[in-house]
Amino acid sequence: MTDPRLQMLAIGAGALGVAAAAAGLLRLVSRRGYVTFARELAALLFQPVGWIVLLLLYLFRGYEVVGLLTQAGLGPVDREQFTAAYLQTSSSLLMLLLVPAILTMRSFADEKRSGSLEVLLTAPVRDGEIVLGKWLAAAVYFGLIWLPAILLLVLLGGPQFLAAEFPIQPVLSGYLGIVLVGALFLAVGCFTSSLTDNQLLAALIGILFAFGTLFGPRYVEPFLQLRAAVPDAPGLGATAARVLGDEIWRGDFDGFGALLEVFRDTVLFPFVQRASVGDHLANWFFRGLLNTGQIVFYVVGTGCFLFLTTRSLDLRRWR
Amino acid sequence: MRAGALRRFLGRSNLVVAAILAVAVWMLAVELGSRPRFKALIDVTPQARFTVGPDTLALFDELATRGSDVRIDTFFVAPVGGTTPYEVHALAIIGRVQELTIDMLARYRELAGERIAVVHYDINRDVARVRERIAALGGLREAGGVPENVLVVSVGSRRRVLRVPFDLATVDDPARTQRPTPGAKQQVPRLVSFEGEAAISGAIRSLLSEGTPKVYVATGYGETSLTAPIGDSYSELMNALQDEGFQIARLELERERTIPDDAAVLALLEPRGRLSEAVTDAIVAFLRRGGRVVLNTAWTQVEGERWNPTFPELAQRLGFAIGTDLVCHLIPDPANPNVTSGGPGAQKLTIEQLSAHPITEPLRRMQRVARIQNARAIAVVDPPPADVRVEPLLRTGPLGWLAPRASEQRSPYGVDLDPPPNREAYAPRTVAAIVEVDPASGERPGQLVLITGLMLQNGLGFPVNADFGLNVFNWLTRRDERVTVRGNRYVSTQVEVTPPVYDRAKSLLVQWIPLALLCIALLVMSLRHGLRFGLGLVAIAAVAVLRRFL
Repeated sequence: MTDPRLQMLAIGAGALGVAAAAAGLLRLVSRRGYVTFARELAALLFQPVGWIVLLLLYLFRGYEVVGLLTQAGLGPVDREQFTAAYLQTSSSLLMLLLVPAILTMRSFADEKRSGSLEVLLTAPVRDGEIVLGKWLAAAVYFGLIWLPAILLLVLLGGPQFLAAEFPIQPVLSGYLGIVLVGALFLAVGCFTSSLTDNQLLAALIGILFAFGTLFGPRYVEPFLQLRAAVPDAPGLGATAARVLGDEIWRGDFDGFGALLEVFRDTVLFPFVQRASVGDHLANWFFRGLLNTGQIVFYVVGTGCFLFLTTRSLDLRRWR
Repeated sequence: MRAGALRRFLGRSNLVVAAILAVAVWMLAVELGSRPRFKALIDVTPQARFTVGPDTLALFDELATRGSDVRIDTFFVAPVGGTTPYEVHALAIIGRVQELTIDMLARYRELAGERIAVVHYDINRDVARVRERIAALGGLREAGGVPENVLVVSVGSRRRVLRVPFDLATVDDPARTQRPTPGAKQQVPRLVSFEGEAAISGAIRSLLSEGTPKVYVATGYGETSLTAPIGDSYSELMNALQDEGFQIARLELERERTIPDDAAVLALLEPRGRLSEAVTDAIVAFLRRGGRVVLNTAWTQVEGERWNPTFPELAQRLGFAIGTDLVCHLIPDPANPNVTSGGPGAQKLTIEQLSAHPITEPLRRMQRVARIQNARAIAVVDPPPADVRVEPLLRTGPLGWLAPRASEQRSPYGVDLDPPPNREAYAPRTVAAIVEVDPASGERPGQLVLITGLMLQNGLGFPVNADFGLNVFNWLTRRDERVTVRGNRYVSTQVEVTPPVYDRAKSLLVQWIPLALLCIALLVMSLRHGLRFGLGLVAIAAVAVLRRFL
């Protein structure tokens, strides 16, 4: 299937199909959750401010892609390189950074402020269903607003434009990566929104989390790389054994310090390395390489934050 | 009041505990999901460029079995700048090959685990670390001391230097194959394909080769130095062979008159003088028992058999003859591609059409050339001896001629470098050949690589012909894994942006898409604020009108 129009149709239909299937599944599992989902999605779609923000982001994106085309006109750029660069523009990062937090900042904080949360929580619907409905609506909306960017790339590769027939697989894997990252950030946004009745504070915490995972590991990376750069550096298990063993043997075992060092080396650093969302996108998803370990990171992370949101809502019952 | 506070405290504690548990579950799941046993990597790129071939996977298994550790250091420079289109394209190609190499190495590290360590150096930023590493690598003579855009593969004390882009990719460089014409648009280089896997895995495999084959270098023939760091010495070749895992020993051939049994290769580098009959017998006997010999001779200005030996006895028994005249080739005139001339420089030969022999095939694939000067022609004796085969290895182009010594001193070379007027004088000339001698016992054949010009001296060819020289020795000792590892080949297809396409795309991206979103926003606003169709219709009409005009 090399006709870009058919490809666009297939991608569009596929994305909408997945969204419809998710909604259908929710309806099957929880009818009340589905009602929440439908209500939230309608609210998002009929929010003019959302479309205006989107307009500005796409305008910014447009100029960035024009810059990319100018670069391609000056020097050689191959198709895969162009695809990865197209997906990895600053506007993409901006969309990932801001949009999930903005989409979810109202979900619970606004309801808390207006007092409608009490009504919602006393309705015959479980907390989990409310959380799932709201998150799914935001996730579907997030997926939909990214869809034009993906379809545009296919259109640009068509005969009327670059006649380049961009490889579709890396485009789809890039889209999958964006949706997975978005799903995690949206879950975090739901959680932060459930903790406070201040929308701005909720959005700010969400943005900070996104910023930390997108760019944070880059600042920690030089230190991590230095460790990885030494080929004969002991393994993590060996580090733990050395630190604990030596100190106990010498009799100057500083329990807390040693344990902290072991925790840092065996748990924290590996996790920070694996939680580098920017690296996942730039070096894996956008290049057409899927790592099931990373997919587990997003799916389980999203689940954890949705669970925490439910626990956070439950907190009100303790008062 | 107190009960309420306690409940709130318990509620918050509940949330904190839940958060700790959730994060712990998350970490555990990620840790488990990242374990090699549970992790799967799915490569969806059309050319599967992140998937390594079975040879490389077998190599990783071998590394794990043998417990060998490989370290790969990259010394890359960010390719910025360029003023002419040629430079811009050349730098972009370097950048792309660097990127593909880094991706490839990440995959190697992922698949080989702890067995392969990859360290990237930015030679402009990490000056101290680079200096330290170069010192640890022994100065990197192959890269001229400054390792710009190279990667060094090391296994123990042995190492191989690969240059970016030429050792890892095929680049179509018109500057090397076409002559510039005044007024014509400058042709630019193009990245054809990336063969990093074959190059890197091949380098690792060759470094893993067992044993240290012994190369005996014949002495006692007034040859040039093997150790002095001067232009006409062979010290660079010796160092490169040692880095490659060869053991170098000297052999006073005329005194010993026999070649030791542990000799993997006997090398005669520019011998000046006749080989005695006993030595000739020893070499032929060595070849007959499957021995390997490199004979590199060259033309010199001084006339006579001592300075320009033709080794008639050896040549006769092995079915070849070395001429006495200097091989020259017409030099293309850059200003006028249809005109070629002779003169000084005609004796410096550039062999562009390399043969498909295992020694030259990898160079041919990467569009490399061989350079040789002061060469003499090799002729095949007709008919050759029954058990001997002579195969040309390097041949000049069709405009090669033989320049005899001039009766009067017309050039510093003592030969007439002007091209001969008659067409019959021009023909391709063989300047390197392979002689195979079938053994009496039916074992592997003896092989002699004959090179009749300067190719491997420090200042005369080695920087250009290093890979050729190493391939000769690797091939002779059957350590030719370097050229036999097959890997995935990434074919580069470039995006062409013409001005009309650029204009159309720009219009789509910065006019139509934002306009469509504006219309949606207006439509939503009209629906929300009860204006219903009013604003929506205005928006649709605006789009229609703008479409008409744009």
